[in-house]
Formats: sequence, structure tokens, C-alpha cells
Amino acid sequence: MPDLTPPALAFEDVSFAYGALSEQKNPTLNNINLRINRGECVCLTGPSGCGKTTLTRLCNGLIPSFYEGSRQGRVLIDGIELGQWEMDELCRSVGSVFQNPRSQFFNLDTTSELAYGCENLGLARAEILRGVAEAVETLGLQDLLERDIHDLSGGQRQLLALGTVCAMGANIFVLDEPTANLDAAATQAVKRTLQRLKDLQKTILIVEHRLHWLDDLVDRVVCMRDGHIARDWTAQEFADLPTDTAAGMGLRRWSLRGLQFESQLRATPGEAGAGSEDAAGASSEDAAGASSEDATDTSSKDAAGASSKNAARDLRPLDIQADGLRAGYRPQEDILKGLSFLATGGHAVAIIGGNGQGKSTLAQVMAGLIRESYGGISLNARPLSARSRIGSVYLVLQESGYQLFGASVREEFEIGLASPDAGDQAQIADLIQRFGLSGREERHPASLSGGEKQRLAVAVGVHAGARLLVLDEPTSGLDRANMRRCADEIRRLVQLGCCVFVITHDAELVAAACDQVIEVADGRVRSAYDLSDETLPRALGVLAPGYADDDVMAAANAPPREAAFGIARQASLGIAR
Amino acid sequence: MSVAIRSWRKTGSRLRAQDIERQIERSLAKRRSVDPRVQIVILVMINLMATTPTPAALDIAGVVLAAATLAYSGRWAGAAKWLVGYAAVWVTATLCSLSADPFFVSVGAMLMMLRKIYAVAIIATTLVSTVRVGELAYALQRLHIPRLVIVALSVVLRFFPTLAAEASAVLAAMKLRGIRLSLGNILRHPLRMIEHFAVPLILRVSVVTDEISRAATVRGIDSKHARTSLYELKTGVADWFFLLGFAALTLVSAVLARDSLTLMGLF
Repeated sequence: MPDLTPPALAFEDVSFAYGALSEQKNPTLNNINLRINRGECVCLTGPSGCGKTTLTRLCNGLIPSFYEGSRQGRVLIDGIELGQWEMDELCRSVGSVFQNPRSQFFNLDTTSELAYGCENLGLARAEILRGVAEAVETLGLQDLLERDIHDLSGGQRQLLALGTVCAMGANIFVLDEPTANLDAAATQAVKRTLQRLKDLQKTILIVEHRLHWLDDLVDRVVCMRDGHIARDWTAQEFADLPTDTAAGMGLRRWSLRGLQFESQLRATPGEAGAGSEDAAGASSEDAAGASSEDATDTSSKDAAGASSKNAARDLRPLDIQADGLRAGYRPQEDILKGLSFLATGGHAVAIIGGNGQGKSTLAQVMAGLIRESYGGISLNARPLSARSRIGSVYLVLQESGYQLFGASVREEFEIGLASPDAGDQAQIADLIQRFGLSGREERHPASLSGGEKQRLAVAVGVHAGARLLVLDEPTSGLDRANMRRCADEIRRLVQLGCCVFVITHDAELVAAACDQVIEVADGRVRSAYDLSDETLPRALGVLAPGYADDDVMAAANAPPREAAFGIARQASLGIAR
Repeated sequence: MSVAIRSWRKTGSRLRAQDIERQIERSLAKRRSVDPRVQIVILVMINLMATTPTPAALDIAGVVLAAATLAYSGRWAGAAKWLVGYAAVWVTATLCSLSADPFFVSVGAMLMMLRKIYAVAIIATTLVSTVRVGELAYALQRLHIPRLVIVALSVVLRFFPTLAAEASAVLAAMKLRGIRLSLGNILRHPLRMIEHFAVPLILRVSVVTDEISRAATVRGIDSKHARTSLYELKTGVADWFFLLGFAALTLVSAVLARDSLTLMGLF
């Protein structure tokens, strides 16, 4: 018997371009055919720039009401052509949640925010009240009523955004990377909420790069590439795909099961220089396998040799010691509550832990942006004040484009911190080449891609003489290729003898690029250990609880093992090796 | 788990949603503040008052009434602090006026100015701290302010905290790169400092503004329907009391002002 209810979303031969279609060889969307039935939950994925977000804009009416462009083909929402929808009605039927919680709210308190959409549409007060109450009931948001939005965590804010569109009466939910900024626990909360909507037969379209949290939520995985639909799998088919096949399509892992510890860094302290050449060989093989587009050639022995000469200003192993750090934003309670660790150069250290535990504060303290109220940080046993850490410790921001100030890539190296050989053109050329920026020397930094900006920001820090680099969430919202490139970049830094701290929620990045882990909880170091096949499950237990095997969870819940490279919990530090 | 939710929804959900509805109604009813429309009118009146020369007694009456407005919204402690502050300003100003030292005289004159605008500050604080953005929007609606103005106002209110956050992020990024926004640098390289601060700030703000506009669009901000509100505006006895109280003060100060201007031969 034919199914007479129209699909919730249907794309029939849809092409779209932000300019005129005829003038463009590669329209943003190219002949899309897609049906999403009522009650289905679909994950839309694919490499950056493949047109995923544009597709969602056709669902929620941002095209054509916010973005202009030209379209061919039919977009049917609940069986009605997009062009025939009143925007008001479309706002009610299709609820949108975006990536960044910072820019989705218009009120200071949660109750008003829940009602905001309904108020705009001019619904009667009784109807607004009912909509809000039903949204709260459906999503289980009782705890979020009458709160100050400022006090909510990122995860709670995403739930609130879902509540607002739910109150408007949405039947179709379109979410664009809703968990890119969230930690594991908050991601779980969003997932539980989406599960409730799914149980109510709501249609859900989620755009995501990080797939592993979706494995028992979505019914289908649709992969886009260059503006067309490349593949359309059921969840089961996708789960059964060999990992290599999905990786070959530029997709992140569906399951963290079987994730392996990859890092080949293993530079022994004291031999950072010698170790780096091995690392260069190992990482370049990886790089070649992982990202063919990456033009940097790190495999050449010449480059490695040149690098150790250039970065060889100081190849003594770097010792970084944090001793009883306390810091925070007065008058609130300190966020760091006596945090200590000992780390050495030639390693990539993953700093993991939930949101609000102090990871970002630690990064800002290390980089000298926030002054510690107690304790201190020393490099090679030399205590450094917050002010003098600027330059020696270099923080790469999540949106690294904002820390670029030059008018061209080359000029970027000459700004700000002048190291003794700041004008050393040979070193600049070497860094440009090593970080895959060849041919872009005269481009304006703002015109680079996200990954290129990040690499430039890192290269500039190395040029300024930083030996400890702290990367804050370098892969949030990145697709697989860019994540792999970021992993290569971290290896490259380690080759140069730097110590790299990576603050991250990204389990795949940790496995690919890091060789040590510091777990931060409640402003202190909970444990610190070398990463290996044996200890990886423990880290995964923090990064993705609930997604890993039972025995992994058991390992994560086991008492913390003694730190292999630093004794962390006591204020008095011991030398581990 | 999912089965449990579904069956539970069938039987009890409507009831539970009604409970939540009542809970929301209760918490909204508990919020007591002077009608936002009245507060807006009071703010206008008290500003007028501040621009006219008034005797001290009238100033004091204005401040006391303003503090009462704040106290009425449940902010007793805040109201008390404002009053103590006002008393301190008075005492200091009086002491300064006794002195012959030009320094203290000028400080005294400054404090006199502060005394004049004190009530304005209290009412503005009351408006900001006791009226929610949604309520304010609705109040303006009921005052027949055009939708466009209200929408613009609510986005502007939303924009300032964003601007502050983005500016501090740019400053942090500059610091990371060793670019200091110090007075010396501003004087020596004014253009470079503008370039390094203003250009990234504008870039950042335009990105966030874009995000906010998109979010607003899908939340129905462009709707053709008249906006409604979760909040209800009821003008009660207290509202009339404050409105008439301030109106009386404004009237008296206007009459006095006219008299004093007449004395000066202007009328």
C-alpha cells in the first residue's frame, strides 16, 4: 500500500547557488534528491564546504528570506513547496538550532526566551503559555525555568534553544552542529532530548562532523560531497562499513570502538632532537595516508635537518612545571584550585575533562592572560611571571583567525613579539613551507581557509620563539581531513622540540596526535599518564562516556593510575622518571 | 525507556503540562514590579526634573520616591543602599560648601550635580534590574511604539554585552601576539593600533551579528503579526501612586522653574 502522507522534507532535483546559477560551474547544491520521512532522524555529514549548511537553509527558510540566490528544482516541506510557505508558518513548523550558543538568545532569563518565538509570531497569551509548558514537559526542562541565561552551561543553552523552537510547535527540527562546543556530558544531554523528540515522531535533521554520539539515535546517514548527495546509508549499513571506507570518504568515526592509539612521537626527554627525525618519518607516512590534499612535505630529510637547525636555538629538553596553581575570576570562587603537573618537551599532552572544570582557565593562565593568585609556572626550573610567559608560552585560540593581525601571511611573522632573529627570512620561509602555506605568502590572512589560519597562527607562535604551545579546542567543528591535518601539525611542533598542550573533547584527535594525558577535574589534576593502547580506553572514558565498550568504562572508573610523567595531585612535585 | 515515555505521555502528559503552566503563572505572578510603562514615563519625567533648577526639598522627595519604586519591586536592600549613598553625597556637599578652598568648592559643585541626577540613576537602575527584556518590549508595544523600533531596541540591548565580550577577546588575542594597547603605543602608532584593534573587532562583531540575525529570522522576528507577550501588564494602585507622585513633583518643579525664570526676566 502506498504511503500517502507526504515526507517531512523532500528535495527533487534541487540545485542552488548564492549567485546566479547559470554563471557558476560549481553551484553550492547540485541536483539534490533527498526524502526524509516523518519521524525519521537523519544525520547529514560530509567534508567542510560540501553544502550541508546550505541544504539546511532551504529547510528552515533562511533561503530565500535571509540569503539570496537562485534555485532549480522543488523543495517540499510537509508536502508544500518552499516558495508557497508563509515565513511565519515555516518558523513554526521547522525549528532551527545553531552551533553557537552565544548568539541564539534575545533575553536574559530563560522563561522569556522560551516564549520569545511565540511572542514574535503574535500568538495569544494562553497559546504561548501552553506552548512553553508543553516544551518544558516534553524536553524535561523544568530545572531551566526562571533562570538567568548567563548562568547556564553551553549544553543547557542548546537545550533551551531546542525548547524555544519546540514551544513554537515545531514538527521538524534542523540542527547545525549542535554539539560542536559541548563536552561529553552535555552532548549526552542533547542526545537524550533529541531521543524524546524522536519518540514523539518528530523529524530531525542533524548536520554533524563528529558522528560517534549519534550511533543509536539516527536512522540514516547521508553523506554530501561537492554539493551533491554522495551516499545515503541506513544507520545499520553505515555501522557495518569498514572504518577505512568511511575515512576514505572524509568521514569521522561512527563508533569509538576500535579507536587506536596512533602517536609515534615517543621522543625520549633529553633526545628531543634525535627523536624528532624518527617522528618526522612516521608522521609523514601517516600524513600521506590521511590527507592527500596536504601539500606539505615533511618527509624530506632536508626539511627535518633544516628544522632542527632553525628551531635549534634551544634543544635542551623543556621542563614545564605548574605548582599549586590557583586562579579564577574574583569575586567568584577560584576555578583552578591548586593545580600541579610536570611535563617535558617533545610530547603532545592532551588536557581533557568536562566543561567548567578549568581547562580553558589553565590555558589562559599558562599563556599569561590571567594571573595566578597562588602557585606558579616554571620553564626549565625558571619561574616565569604571567607577564613574561607571554611569548614563551603561546596560546592558539579556538577561532585562531582572530589572533592574526597582519596584512599578508609574510607580514604576520613580523608583528608583535620580535625574537632575536625576527627578520630571518630563511626561517620564515622554512616555517611557511613546513606548515603548508607555500604559495600563500602574499595572501591576506582573513582570506585563508580555517585550517590555514590555524596553521599560520601556530607557525607565528613558533617563529616568536614559543616552546610551549597550548591549542584550545583546535578541532571543534572540523571534518576528518582537517582534524588529521591538525594532528599532523601537532606532530610537526613536537618534532621542532616544542611541548604541545591540546585542550580537547575530540577523542579521535587525542588518539591520533597525543602521547600523554592530563585529566583536569574541579580545578585540579585528577590524573596524568602516558597514552598507550592500555591507557587510551581510560582517556576515552572521560572524552566520551557512554559511547565506549563496557570494559572501557570499567577501565575509566578504575582508580587513577600513578602518573607516568608527572606526579600530579600533590602540591609538591616529584620527578617521575 | 522510549516506550515508557510514550505511554506516559498518552495518559499523564496533558495534565503535567498544565501543572507546568500553573507553575509558570505562579512564578510570573510572584514577580512584582512597577508597570514598565509607568517606569518609562517616570524616567522621562524625572529627567525633565533634573534639567530644571529645583529646591533641595524637591530633590530629596524625588530620590525618596525613586527609592520607594525600587523597594516596591522587592529590592529593599538596594533601595536602602541608594538612600545611604544619597545622604553621604548631601553631607559631603554641605561640608564642601562650608570650605573656602577652591578645590573643595569645585568638589562640592560636582556633588551638587550628582545630587540632581541621583533620582534618574535610581529609576534607570530600577528599570534595568526589575524589568525583563520581554516585558519592556511588550510595554513599548502597548505604548504604540512601532515594531521596527522595538525589534531594533531588543537587538541593540543584546548587542552591547556581545560587543564587550568581543572587544575583550580581541584584546586577549593582541596580548597573545605581544601587541600591547598601551598609551605609549597608541601615541606612537595610532593607525597601527586602530588597525590591530578595530579591524578584528569589526570582523568579529559582523560575524556574531550575522549569527544573531539568522537566529532572529527563524524565531519569527519578521512576522507581520502584531507581537504578543507572555507577560501581562496590569496597572494597579501602586502604579498610579508612583505615576501621580512623580507627576506632582515634575509639575511643582516646572512651576518653580517658570517662576525663577520669570524672576530673571525671561518670561
